[in-house]
Amino acid sequence: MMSSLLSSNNITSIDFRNDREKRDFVACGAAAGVASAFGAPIGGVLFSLEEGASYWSTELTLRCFFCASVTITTLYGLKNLDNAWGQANMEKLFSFGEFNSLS
Amino acid sequence: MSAIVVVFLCSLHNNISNIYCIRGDASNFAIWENINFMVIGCIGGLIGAVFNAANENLTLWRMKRVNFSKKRRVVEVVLVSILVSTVSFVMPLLWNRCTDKPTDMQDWSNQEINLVDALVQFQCEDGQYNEVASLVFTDADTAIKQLFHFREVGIDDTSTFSSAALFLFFIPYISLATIVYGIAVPSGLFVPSLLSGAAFGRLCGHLLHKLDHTSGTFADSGTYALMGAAAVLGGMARMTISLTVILLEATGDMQYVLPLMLTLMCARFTGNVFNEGLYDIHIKLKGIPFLEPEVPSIAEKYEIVASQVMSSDVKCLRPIERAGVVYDLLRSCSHGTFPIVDSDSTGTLYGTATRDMLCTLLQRKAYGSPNILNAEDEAGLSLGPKRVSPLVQWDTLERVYPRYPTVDDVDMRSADRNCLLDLRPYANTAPYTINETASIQRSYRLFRTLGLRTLCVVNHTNQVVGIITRKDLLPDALSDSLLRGRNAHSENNNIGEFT
Repeated sequence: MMSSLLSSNNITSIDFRNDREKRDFVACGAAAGVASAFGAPIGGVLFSLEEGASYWSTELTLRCFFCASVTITTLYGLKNLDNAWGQANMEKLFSFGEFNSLS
Repeated sequence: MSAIVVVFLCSLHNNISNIYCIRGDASNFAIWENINFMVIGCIGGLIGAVFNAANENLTLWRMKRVNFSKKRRVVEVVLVSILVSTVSFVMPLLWNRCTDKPTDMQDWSNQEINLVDALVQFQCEDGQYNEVASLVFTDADTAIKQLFHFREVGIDDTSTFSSAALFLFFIPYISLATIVYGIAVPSGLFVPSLLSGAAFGRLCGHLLHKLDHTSGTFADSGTYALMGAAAVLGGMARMTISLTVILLEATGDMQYVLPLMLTLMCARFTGNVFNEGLYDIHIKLKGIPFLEPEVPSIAEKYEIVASQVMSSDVKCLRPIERAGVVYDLLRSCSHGTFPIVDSDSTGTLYGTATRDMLCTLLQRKAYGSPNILNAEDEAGLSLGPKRVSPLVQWDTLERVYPRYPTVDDVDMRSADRNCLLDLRPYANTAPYTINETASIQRSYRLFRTLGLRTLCVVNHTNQVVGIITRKDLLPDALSDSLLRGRNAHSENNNIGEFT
């Protein structure tokens, strides 16, 4: 799953019109990668905000957010193919499991 | 700082409203344990700093010895893979102790039972498992879950993974992660550091439990494992906000917000005392001129102006230029932007031309006949209203982005060298400029906020006196130019004394 992070970072061969679009695309890719690898869409957006991008705009936040939400939707869809998209099985996403209070 | 104060105030408030309790709906940890978590954060920051320093030196060595040939890189990958496989096989052999799987699992949850099934038997009998092998030979995320969730049973609270096993796993694993990060395979940093951090945190939990057997004073080792994972990853990457949210989303448990925040903050502060985050280190090692958000401290300390850091050896073009001159200029240097100056008025800035554009123009042979100008124009190649070369549309220029032709693609015949290239339609006639007396802070902010690559330095009559690139603004270049300026100054003084 970590490979999705790397691959999405490396798709730079598609034609972009200028450097800015390329930069934004990489930022969105990083957000989507973290979102899919850890099942953490908001964390992904914040990751590219904190680590990735030098020039951040509100528009880019929205783009990253959209990208991460599409990613997480796809992830839910693919991981829950076997139960005909019924109730999602949270165990199938990356998670640290449930911390239960020990008495 | 204010965030920490707020966090502490919040925790104080909690402390008053519900005095610490570990039962029922209350959290898995007591509020005073945040201090323990912060200490773990500090140690994690230290571990991360050591990791970063080791990896930096290793990468420097790698750049010198390995990276220049593809063959060596492949050999390195093969050698490292053999090393990793050997170590991960030898570690369980060294452990050489079998532990009985927990049998009394009446009140265990499904998750825990599944995790018990994931334990690795290795060379043990049925119903037993090898502790180190269980950590090495399972998926990383399963191993992380094991470290987070196994409850302590038995007399000394540490039966599932003993402290020694965790130690034997943690030290080689993090050393291997140091070696592996940077070889020629796409490898991650997150999961290995989470796993080794979880082992480290659980180890801390065990040691604390050794202090107090009555169970209940300290949170369970799983919570400490989570904090350890956060601390080590935070110590390496120096992320705070995003890591808090990522770990929180992966855990799905809001009660860990406060300890995660505190742990990551401590890891960052401790690590930043020694060196930078791993990502920043690698940006620097790659030689990418990345400008940090804040102005380098050397620029704040000394008064530097733009004319001190600029390179004054500017390669300029005239608005109408011989094709051969342009070609030779492109051949002779690798600059990305060239200022265009008026030839008749001693170097007043007319505009700028980018390298990509000039190459495209030359490749398309967009130059006019050499004889189009009159004799009086010829002397200074002065500006007339008439266009002297065919026009290439903007669309055509930009269609090939980002694979512009290079100067090698240009086929320059000697017959064309005298032809005239009219740069006036293509020049950026409103480039960003800065006065030579402007402070370095100002030009730094211009670069940083506008995302510039080059900046023309002009004097008060708008004549080009120099050019600043991103590389001139890196801290090392700044101190270099400061030193150069001082030397020049002292030399001048000496000359003055002697004459």
